[in-house]
Amino acid sequence: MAGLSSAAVQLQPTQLDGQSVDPNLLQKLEEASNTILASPSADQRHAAEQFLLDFRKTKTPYTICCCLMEQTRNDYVIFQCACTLKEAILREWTQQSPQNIHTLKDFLMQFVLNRPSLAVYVREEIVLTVAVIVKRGTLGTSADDRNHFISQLTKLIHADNGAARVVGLSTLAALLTEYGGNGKGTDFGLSWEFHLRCKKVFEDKELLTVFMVLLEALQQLAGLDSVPADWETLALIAKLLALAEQILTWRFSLPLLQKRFLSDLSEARWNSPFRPPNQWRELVVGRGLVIHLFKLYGHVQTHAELAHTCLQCLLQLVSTTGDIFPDHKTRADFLSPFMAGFLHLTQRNTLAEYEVLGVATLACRLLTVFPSKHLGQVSSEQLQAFLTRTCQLTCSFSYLAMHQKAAEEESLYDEGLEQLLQMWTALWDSRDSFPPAAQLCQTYTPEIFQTYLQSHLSAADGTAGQAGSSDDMEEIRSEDEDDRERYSAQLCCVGLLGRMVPSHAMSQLTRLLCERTSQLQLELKNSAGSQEQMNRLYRLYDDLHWLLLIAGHFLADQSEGEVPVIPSELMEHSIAQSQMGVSEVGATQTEMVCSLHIDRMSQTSNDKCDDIVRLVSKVFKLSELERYAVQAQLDPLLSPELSRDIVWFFQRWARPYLLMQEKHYPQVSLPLACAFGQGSDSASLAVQTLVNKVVSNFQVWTSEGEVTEDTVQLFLTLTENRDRCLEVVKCEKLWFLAMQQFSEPFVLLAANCRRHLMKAVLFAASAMSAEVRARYWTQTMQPLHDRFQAMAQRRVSGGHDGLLQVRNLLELLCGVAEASRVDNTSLVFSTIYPRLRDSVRLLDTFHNYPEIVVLVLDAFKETITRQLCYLSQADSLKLYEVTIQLIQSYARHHGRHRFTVDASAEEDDFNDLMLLLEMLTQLTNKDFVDFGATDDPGAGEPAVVPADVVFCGLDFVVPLMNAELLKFPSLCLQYFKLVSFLCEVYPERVPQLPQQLFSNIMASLQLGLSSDYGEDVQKLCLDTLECLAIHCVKSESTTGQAYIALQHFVQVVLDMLVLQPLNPDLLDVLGETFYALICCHQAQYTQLVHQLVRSQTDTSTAERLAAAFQRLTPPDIPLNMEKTHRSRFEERLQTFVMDVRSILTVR
Amino acid sequence: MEGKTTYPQQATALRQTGHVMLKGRPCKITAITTTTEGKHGSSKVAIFGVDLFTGDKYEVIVPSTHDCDVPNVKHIEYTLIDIQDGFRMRLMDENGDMKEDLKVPEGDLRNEIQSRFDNGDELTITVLSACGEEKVFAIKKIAKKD
Repeated sequence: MAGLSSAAVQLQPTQLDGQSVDPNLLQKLEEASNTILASPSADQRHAAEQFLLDFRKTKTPYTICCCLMEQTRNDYVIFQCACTLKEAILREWTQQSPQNIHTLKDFLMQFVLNRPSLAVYVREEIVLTVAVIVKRGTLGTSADDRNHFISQLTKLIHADNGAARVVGLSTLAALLTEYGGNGKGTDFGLSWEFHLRCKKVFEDKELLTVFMVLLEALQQLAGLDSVPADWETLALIAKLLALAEQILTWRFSLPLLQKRFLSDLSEARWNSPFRPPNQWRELVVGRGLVIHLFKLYGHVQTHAELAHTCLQCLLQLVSTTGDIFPDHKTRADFLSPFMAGFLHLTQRNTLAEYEVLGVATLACRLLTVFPSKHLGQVSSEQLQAFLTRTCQLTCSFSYLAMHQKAAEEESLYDEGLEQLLQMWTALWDSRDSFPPAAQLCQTYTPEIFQTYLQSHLSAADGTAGQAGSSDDMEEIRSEDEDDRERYSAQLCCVGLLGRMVPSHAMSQLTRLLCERTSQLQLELKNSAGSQEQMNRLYRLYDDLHWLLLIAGHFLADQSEGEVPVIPSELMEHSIAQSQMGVSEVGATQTEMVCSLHIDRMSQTSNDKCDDIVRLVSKVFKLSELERYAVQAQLDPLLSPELSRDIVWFFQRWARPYLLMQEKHYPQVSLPLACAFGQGSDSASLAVQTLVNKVVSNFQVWTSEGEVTEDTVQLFLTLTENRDRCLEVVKCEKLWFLAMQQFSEPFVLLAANCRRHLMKAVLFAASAMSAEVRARYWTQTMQPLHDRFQAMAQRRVSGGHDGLLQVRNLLELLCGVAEASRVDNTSLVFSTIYPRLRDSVRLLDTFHNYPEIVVLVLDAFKETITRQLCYLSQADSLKLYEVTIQLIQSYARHHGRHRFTVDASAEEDDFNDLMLLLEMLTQLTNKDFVDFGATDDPGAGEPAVVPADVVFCGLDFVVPLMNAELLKFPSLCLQYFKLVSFLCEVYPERVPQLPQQLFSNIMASLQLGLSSDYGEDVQKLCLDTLECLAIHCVKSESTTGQAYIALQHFVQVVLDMLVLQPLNPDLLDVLGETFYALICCHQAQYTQLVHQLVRSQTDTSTAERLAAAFQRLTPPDIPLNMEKTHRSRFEERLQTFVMDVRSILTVR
Repeated sequence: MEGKTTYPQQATALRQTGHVMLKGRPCKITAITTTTEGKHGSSKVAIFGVDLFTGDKYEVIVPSTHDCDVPNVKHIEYTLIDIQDGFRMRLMDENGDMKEDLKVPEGDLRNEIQSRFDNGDELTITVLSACGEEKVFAIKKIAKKD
C-alpha cells in the first residue's frame, strides 16, 4: 500500500461548500469527547453530544476528518471521524470520483496499520468504514479492485506482524458481516436488491478466497506443537475462529429457497446447516479442515471462550450438507476425521464444565446428521471406539449431573446427558436401515442404564449424595421443581434405553424395588419416629421415587390422542420368554394375584413369572404396603411424593396394559394376556385394588392437592375406557365415591379434583346396565339437584355460606358438563339443562362475585363444547334459549360500558369475557359439525339457530373489546378467532349487522393487522377479510357496508405485501386475501398501482414496478374466484413480492 | 353487618380469585402456590394477597391442612343520587334507603365518576365491604339521560 498522508487525500479539497473550517475544531472536538467520557452532568453531556452530532452531519468532511485523525491523539475523536466518514461516503457516494474513494480507503487502511495502539473499538470502526466502502462499490467497480484489496488483506494476514494480522482479520470479518446480509450490516439506505446482488457477487468470487486464507492460517496454527499463550496470539486465534464461524454460518443464496431468502434480510433466526456450493468440495472435505480445527481445539481448550467458539465451528461444520457430497463415500470420508478428532478430544480424563454441552452435542450430531443407512460406510472399529467413548461420557455425565445438583440449579451436565441419551435413542431407531445398530446399542446400554439408576440411588446400591438428611428436610421446595416435569426428556430416553435390554433393565428394577419395599416394610414395622429413622425413610422414599419414575417410563409411553400400546420391544421380550419356557402362564398369574393380597405378599417370587408382570406386581406390593400403613395410622411417616409416584405409575401402566386390547398387536404374549388381559381374574382384581387405592388416597391425602389430582387422574383412566370401566362398576367403593361427594373428606378436596371426580363417577355409569344406571345416576345427582333447588328457593343474597355452597355446586356442575360424551348425551343434558336454568338465576343474584360469574360461564361453555354437536334439534333449541338468557343477564349486570381497566389488571381478571368468547366460538361449531337428530323432518326451520345466539352475544361483547383489552394475548386471540369463525360460517349475515356493530368489527380488524398482536392474530384477521371479500364477489354486491369497508383494506394488505417488514409465514394467507380483495375492488387496485408507480422518483424503478404489476395481474387474465386463476395468482405472487421488495425495501 | 365477619376454610380450598385474611387484613388472593417441606414432606400453601383497602401486599405460608380465615366480602349496589360539596356521595340502595357516609374515591375513579355524573349519566356504584370497611369497587352506567 502506497505511503499516504493526509496531504495526499485530495477529496475536493477546495470545495468545502463555503463552509469555513473552524480553526479550533480539533480542540472543541477533543473537549466534547473528554466531557462525554468523564461522567458529566446532564446539561454538559447534552451539549457535548449535540456538538458531536452536528459534526457527524458535516458535508464533504473527507479532508477535515483525515487531517483531524492525523493530528489528534484522542481515540474518541478518531472514532467520531471514522463514523462521520462512513455516513458521509454513503450519503455522497455518487458525487465522489472513484479515485477519491479509492484514496480514502487506502488512507484509512494505512492509518489503522500505522497506529497499532488504537483502542479496539476505534480500530473496528475504521475497518468497518473500509468494508462499507468496498461493499458500496461492489456493483460499480471491476472485480480486479476487490481482488486486489483481498490479496492485500491476505498479505497482512500472512505477515509476521501480529498487529497487521489482526487488522487483516478484522477487515475480513467486517466484510463478511456487511456482505452476509443477515440484518447485522450497516444501513446503506439502498434497495434490498442492491444488497442481494452484492452478496451474490461476493459469494461467487471472494468468499472462497477468504475461506482459503482462513484455511491456511488455521493450518499454520494447527501445525504448531503448542501455541504461545500470550495475549496477542490468543487475540489472533479469537479473530480467526470468529471468522471461521462467520463463514460456516453463511447462508448461501439458493435459487430454490426463495422463501428462506425472503426472511434473509429480516434477520437470521437460527443457524441453518452449512450448505456450500460444490466448488467448495475440495476445500471443505479434502484439505483437512476438520483435522485442523480439532488440533486448534487442542491448543485452546483451556480458554473457555475460545474453546466455545471452536466447538461451535465444529458443530456447524458437522452439519454440512447439500451438493458438496456427490456420494455416500464422500460423506463417510468426511465423517471419519470427525470421529477421530472426537476421540482425541475426549481422551482426557475430565472435560471442563464449559465443554460438556458442546462435546455432547457434537457426539449427538455426528450420528443424527449423517444418514443412518450409510453408517455402514464408517469403519466398524472407528464406530465402536466412538461408541465406547460416548458410553463412558454418558455414564460420567449421568454421575456428575446428580452430583453437581447441589451446587447449581441447571446443571450443564444434565443438558449434556440429554444430548447423549438422544444420540443413543437415535442410534436405536436407525436399526432398520443400519441393522448392526441394535447389537451395538445392546452392548453399551446396560452400563448406561445401570449408571443412571445408581446415580439416583443412595449408597449401598447407588452413588447419589448422602444429603437425604435433616438439612434437606428444612428446605422448602416449590412446585415447578417436580422431577417428573424437570427430567421428563431424560427419563423418556432412559426408558427407551432400558427397552433395548429389557431383561437386564427389568431384573435391576425389580430387584431394587423389592429390596427397598422390604426395607420400608421393616422400618414401618419398627416405627420409632426418631430423626435418624426419618433420615433413613427419606432416603428410601427418594430411591423408590426414582425407581418408580424410571420403571414407569420404561414400561409405557405417554400417549395423547393415540391409542396407548405396549412398546413392541417389551411385547417381543415377553413373547420370547414364554416361547423359550422361561415364563409360564400359571406362575405369572399366581405372582400377580399374590401381590394383590397383603397376606400372601411375603410369598417368595416365582421363577417362572413373566418379567413385566413381576415388575408390576412389585409396585402393587409397594402400593398395598402404603395402604396398610395408612390404615395403621402411620401416615405421618409416609411421603406424599411417593404416593403421587405410585398412582402416577399405575396410571401410566394401566392405559396400555390393564385389560389390554389384543387386536392392537400382531402377536400377544400369553402370560401377559393372562395376567392383565380381558377376562383374567387378576386384571379384575387389579382394578378393584386400584379403586380401593383411589378411595384411600382421597381419605388420607385430602389436603395434598397434587396427590389427589394424580389420584383422580388414575380414576379417570380407569373409568373412561369401557373395558376397565366394566370392572370398575363391580366395585362397591364406586357407589361410595359417587354418593358421598357432599360429605367429608370429599368436600375438602381441591376444586379441580372435585370436578374431575364428578366426571369420572359419571363416566362409570356408561358401563352399567340400563336399570342399574338409572338408579346410580339418580342417586349420584339427587344431592346436587336438591341443593340447587334449595338454593333457588332460598334466594340467597350474598351471605357467605351461600357463596361457598354455590361455588361448590357450580364446580360440580362443570364436572357434569365435562362428563358429556356421545354415549350419554341425552342423560347428561336432561340432568344439566334444569341446572343451567338455575345457574342463570344464580348469576343474577351473584353478579358481583366474579368467581361465581366465571363458574356459571364455564358450565355453559363446557356444555356447549361437549354436548351441542350431539344434541337433537329440540334440545339444541332449549340450550340456545337458556344461553340467550344467560347473555342477557350477564349483559344487564355488566353494562355496555365497563369502567376502564385499571393498570394493575391481569388477564385472569377477564376470565369471564374469555369464557364468553370461547362459548360463542363453540356455538358456531354446530353449523360445522352436527350429529344431532332432527326430531321431525317436516318441522321446517327451527325458531332459533346458533347464529342468533352468537350475534346476540356479539352485540354485547364487541363494544367491550377495546385496544386496552386486546393487549391481553389470549383474550385477543380468542376474540379474533370468534370473528373469523363468524365470517367463515355466516358470511351472508355479517354484512347485515347493524352499522355501528359492523364498523366496530372492521375497526378491530384494522387494529389486529396493524398492532403487534402476533402472527396468529394477523392470520385470523386476513382470513376474515378474505371470507368477506369472497362473499362480496360471489354475491356480486357492489353496495352494502361490507363492500365499502373492504375497499380500505386493499391498500392495507398491499402495504403488508410490499412495504412493511414481511413475515414469510404469512405470505400464503396474505396472497389469498389480497386476491379476494382485488377481485372485489378491481378499480381500487388499479388506482393503487398507479399511485405507487407514480410516487417513484426514479423512472427506471417506476417502469420496473409497473412491469412487475403487469406480470402479477396480466390484463388478459380475468380477476375472479375460479380455482385455477386463484392458484396461478398465488404462484405469481411469490415472484412478485421478491421483485418488488428488492426494489422498494431500503436498508 | 350480618353475622360473623370471617369464616374458616381449609387452605387447599382457597381459590385464585377468592379472598383471605392475611396478617389480620382482608385481602384479595393474587396467587397461590404449593410447596413442600423437603421433597417427601407434607405440602404447604403459599398465599400471596393484596389488601382490599390499602393495596398492601402480603405473603403467607401455611400447612395445607390449616384453616384460613376468609373475610365475608360483600358487594352492594347503590344508585348515585348526588355528589355534595364535591366529594360526599348520596347513594340509594335497592330498598330506597339512603347512604351518605362514603366519599368519592381518589384517583382515576374520581374523575370517571365526576365526569360521568356531570354528563348526566345515571350511575350505579358498587360498594365492596369487608371487616367493617368499605370502598367503591366499580361503577356502571345504567342509561344516558337524553
